[in-house]
Amino acid sequence: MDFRFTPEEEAFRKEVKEFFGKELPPDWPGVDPDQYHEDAFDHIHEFSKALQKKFAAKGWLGLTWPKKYGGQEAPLWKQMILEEELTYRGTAGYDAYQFLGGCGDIVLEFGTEAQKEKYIPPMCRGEVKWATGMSEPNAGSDLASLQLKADLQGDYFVLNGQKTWQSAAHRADFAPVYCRTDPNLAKHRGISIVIVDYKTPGITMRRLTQMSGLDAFCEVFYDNVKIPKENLLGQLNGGWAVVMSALNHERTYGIQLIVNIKRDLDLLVQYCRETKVNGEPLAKNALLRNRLAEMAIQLEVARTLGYKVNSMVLKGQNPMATANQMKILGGIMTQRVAILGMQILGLYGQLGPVGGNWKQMDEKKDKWARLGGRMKHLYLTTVCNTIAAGTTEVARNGLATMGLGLPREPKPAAPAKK
Amino acid sequence: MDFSLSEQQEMLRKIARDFFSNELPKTLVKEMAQDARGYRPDLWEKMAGLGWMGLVLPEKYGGSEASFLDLAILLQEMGRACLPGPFFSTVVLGAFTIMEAGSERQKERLLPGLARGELIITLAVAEPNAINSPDCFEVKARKRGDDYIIGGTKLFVPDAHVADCVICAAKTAKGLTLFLVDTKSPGVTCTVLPAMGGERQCEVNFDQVKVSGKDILGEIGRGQYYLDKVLTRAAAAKCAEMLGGAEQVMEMTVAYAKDRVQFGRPIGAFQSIQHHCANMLNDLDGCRCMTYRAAWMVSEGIMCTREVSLAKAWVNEAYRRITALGHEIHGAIAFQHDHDMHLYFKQARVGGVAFGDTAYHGEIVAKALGL
Amino acid sequence: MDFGFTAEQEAWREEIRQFLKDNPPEKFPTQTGEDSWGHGSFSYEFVRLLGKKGWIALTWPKKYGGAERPWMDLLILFEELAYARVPWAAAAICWSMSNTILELGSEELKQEFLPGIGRGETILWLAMSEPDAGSDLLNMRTTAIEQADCYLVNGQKVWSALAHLSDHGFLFARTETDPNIPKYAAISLFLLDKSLPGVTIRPMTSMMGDIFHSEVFMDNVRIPKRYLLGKKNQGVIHLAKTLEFDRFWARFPKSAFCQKVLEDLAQYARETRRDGILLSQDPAVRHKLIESAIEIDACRMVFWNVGWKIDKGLPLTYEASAAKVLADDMGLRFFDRGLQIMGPYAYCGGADKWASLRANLRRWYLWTAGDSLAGGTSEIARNTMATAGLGLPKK
Repeated sequence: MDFRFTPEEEAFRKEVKEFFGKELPPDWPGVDPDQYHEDAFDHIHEFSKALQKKFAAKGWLGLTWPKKYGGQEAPLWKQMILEEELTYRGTAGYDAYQFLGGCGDIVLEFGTEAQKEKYIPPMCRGEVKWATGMSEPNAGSDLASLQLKADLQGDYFVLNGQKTWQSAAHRADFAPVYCRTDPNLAKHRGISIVIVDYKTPGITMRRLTQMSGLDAFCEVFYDNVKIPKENLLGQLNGGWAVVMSALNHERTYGIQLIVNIKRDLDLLVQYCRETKVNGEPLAKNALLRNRLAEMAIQLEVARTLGYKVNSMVLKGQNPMATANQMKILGGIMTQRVAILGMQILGLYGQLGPVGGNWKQMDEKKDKWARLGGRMKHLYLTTVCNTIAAGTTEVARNGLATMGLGLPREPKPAAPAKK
Repeated sequence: MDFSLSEQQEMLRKIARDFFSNELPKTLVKEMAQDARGYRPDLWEKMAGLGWMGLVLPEKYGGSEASFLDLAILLQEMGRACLPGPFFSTVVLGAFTIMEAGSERQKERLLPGLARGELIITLAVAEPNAINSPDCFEVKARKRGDDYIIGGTKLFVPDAHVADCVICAAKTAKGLTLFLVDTKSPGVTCTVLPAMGGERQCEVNFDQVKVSGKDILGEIGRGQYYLDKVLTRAAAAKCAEMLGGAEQVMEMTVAYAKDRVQFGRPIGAFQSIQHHCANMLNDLDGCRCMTYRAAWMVSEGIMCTREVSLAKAWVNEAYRRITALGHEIHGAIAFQHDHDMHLYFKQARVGGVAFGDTAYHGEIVAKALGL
Repeated sequence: MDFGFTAEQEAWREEIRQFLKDNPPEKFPTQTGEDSWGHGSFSYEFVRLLGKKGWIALTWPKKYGGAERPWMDLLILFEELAYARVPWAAAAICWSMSNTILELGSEELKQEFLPGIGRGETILWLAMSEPDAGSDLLNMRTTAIEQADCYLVNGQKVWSALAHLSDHGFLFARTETDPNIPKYAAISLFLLDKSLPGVTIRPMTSMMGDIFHSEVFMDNVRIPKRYLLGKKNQGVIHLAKTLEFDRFWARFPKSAFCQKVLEDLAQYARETRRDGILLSQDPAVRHKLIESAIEIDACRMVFWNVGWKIDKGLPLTYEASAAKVLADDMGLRFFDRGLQIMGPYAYCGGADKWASLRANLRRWYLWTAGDSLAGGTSEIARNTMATAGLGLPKK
């Protein structure tokens, strides 16, 4: 057991930090790993695109991918350090999901040579953005119930149906879309993945506004959309294996949430040092001190668990159970920080512009907002952190069955009518 | 001991619920959140026509002399409906303060119009650097002959942007005093703060605002005394509003859990969902009992600072938990703006810091415990 | 709506308080070591005194020695006794069982049992749970097979509270062994005389080191037929009702009990300095006491609400289960906080003013861990709340 980093690892971390020191404005408030700011605000999206090119120039996109396709074949630990640093700084321009598990990795794992050559190099060059097409109105937690049809007609799959809660779809060029290719097979067995070019005719997107006020999601409608059959990723009706792989790679979401919280906790501590209420400095309020300390403790526990997940991956062990733990912890802890932030800010917690501290502050109206409205934004967005990418309830079930070997819940006696 | 409502109270509840079902769809609530005024005057007039503004006012001012408990029941329905607008400000803050502190003449001048829905009033207490401690208040009222000149900034003043008058708590040489300020007075500026939901909280700036000595409510220097009473009532009233919202969240959530099918069964069949619902139910029952007790005691004129604080402290946290679980059970669909759940999520947060957050009321409970 | 008590009720409360002043509970010798609320310590002498006052039979028909007082008076009595921490355990349990006898028993049985219970001389215990029938009570295996002149009982009960001190058990057993008959139509209720041949009581030591529960072994026990309560094979309804009642009754006094402990803790905080600071001024301590005060009060109000509904004969679906969950969650948090307030000093001995508070907190902290399991686990109770109360689908 060794909790230290090697000199090589520390050197890389330093290099990353220096890069951010140069490329990010000094008062950069940080975007969240959920990408909602980039998806909602054009000016952040533009900055993000430019920064993505700079990442590409450093070779940091597709860091661990084969050189043949534009990657660096760097060791995984480098990827992990990069992720941690850019999450802590809240950097835009690096959508971890597309580079980890959701998109690039599944193309590399399941794609043909032609597909790898077509899709990976532009990703490494920072020229494209990918989204992912999983959820539907009736396929949330129960993803296998998805219904978007893909009928093979000659040289094309013809797609009809709807996806929803698609982050970044309106910003993306491509997405792996999860479709039903055989309705006669059992739910899991009739699913295929098709790589969709979002410029294909027949695709319409409708922006959805979140309760935070950000319009960062889309519904995506497919109306007789013709996708070349070469875009099938993996086996026909073999999509569930891709789902499992994508989920397996999803170790990072929970970790990202945890690392991201540190920024907010630091913000709150600073605020308490600088603020007086009813004449008393907040930092002297013993109850608040206690609560902040409590958060810091939980954060350390979660971070250490995150390192454990990474270390398991580096050793080639299956981290799924622990990754589930991180997902659960990450979601819950972000909510706790938001609640604590609102408690600390009191009445001021209600104020602030949509999206928080992103320099769209109105001089008059936002004059009284504290921390740029960050806590309000956090409070309204973290609601989905125990729901998105798998609800906490499902994750706990997974942890209990996969992690602890407890028996699964029995199937219902009779199918429910709908 | 009797936990039941009277027939009249049940009727009031039903009338209010039906009224809001018909007149206030959630689409309108959301529309009003973007509206400059923040509420619909035609709806306001209808409510006035039902006698709601004057519900607890004496008959001689055009009121119905109903009890605070009756008002609480009405507020419950308003909370459930997410009613936007200055009802709470005018009726709970404005009218009570006038009843508590005003002279007969002031009551005669102001209350009949208020009861008819023609007068909108609010109360300005909190400031940038102080919420509850009069020692830390900075808004001052300097005597000049028979008048006073008020200067300073108040924050989080509900509905000041539409109010005809704002009751301002300002420090005179003799202590905190309540001034009735016409919002059209020179020097008064209101800026609506972008808050959370559809409610309007304002920054109100008093720049050398002249107020007649005749427009002082109550005795000079006794402002804190009146405020304590009004704010206790306001806290109890806010609990009632929050209780209404919590009930609606409970109903919506259970209905969804029965309806939403995933993995071949309604999600309400899963034990984790059932336990979430059970926890919501316990929190809700606690809210009911604590809120009604506080409201009843206020109605009966029984000293109840402790019970109101117990209620507010409980409801603040319980309602927050209820809305969090409501969201959790609904999953992604309620994360969308066009769902109704976030209206309540926000209502819980805003209510949770209005008229005392949990820490504030906890301290009052501590004192009652002899600490 | 009315959250006050009538003048008569207030006078009754005063009467109880006076009785307690005249008969300080701590002066009574106890037969068990438990010193907690409700199902706590037990003193024959104290219970008999309650009996002599007519307070056990307070609400019963006069015919059976009762005073036919209103139900609310019984609730007030419970509250006051719990606040005073009286050693009344068995009496508390008996109250719910005696109601069942009143409802279901033959005239003969009523005459046989009620006077003794009313005097505090007959103690009952609840014989429900078995090793394979905890949460899943319908899985019970103890049989009571009808013979010509008796029911022949074979089996085992566990978690029988106060069986070692009681005379009679409220026995739930299977009277129908045909596997095609659903379990809910196979169980009956009996009054079991502990002194019958074949009954063996084996006391269990709790994690507090005391005896409260027992295992009960029944080996060819012959119960005369007249001791069947209600109808054969229809015991499940009474099982459910007993449980509901048990959940309510056993937890009703909890808030009053905790309130007194809270007041003791507040007093302790007012008088104790640690590191130069008076505990009552330590924000962390204040916060714990405040949180506790709020929860205890909310719990109390909810319980009075349920009690009022029972008094009015309003139908209950989930309320007793809900109240139990509320009380048990509250208790777990409260005693945890209490121990935290005391810090390491909670483990000190001594004979000072606070010695018994320390000892009791340690004991109650352990005790309360069992509460969320007794009378149905909180998990099951939450399921009941969801299905019976909110109409969510059963599995």
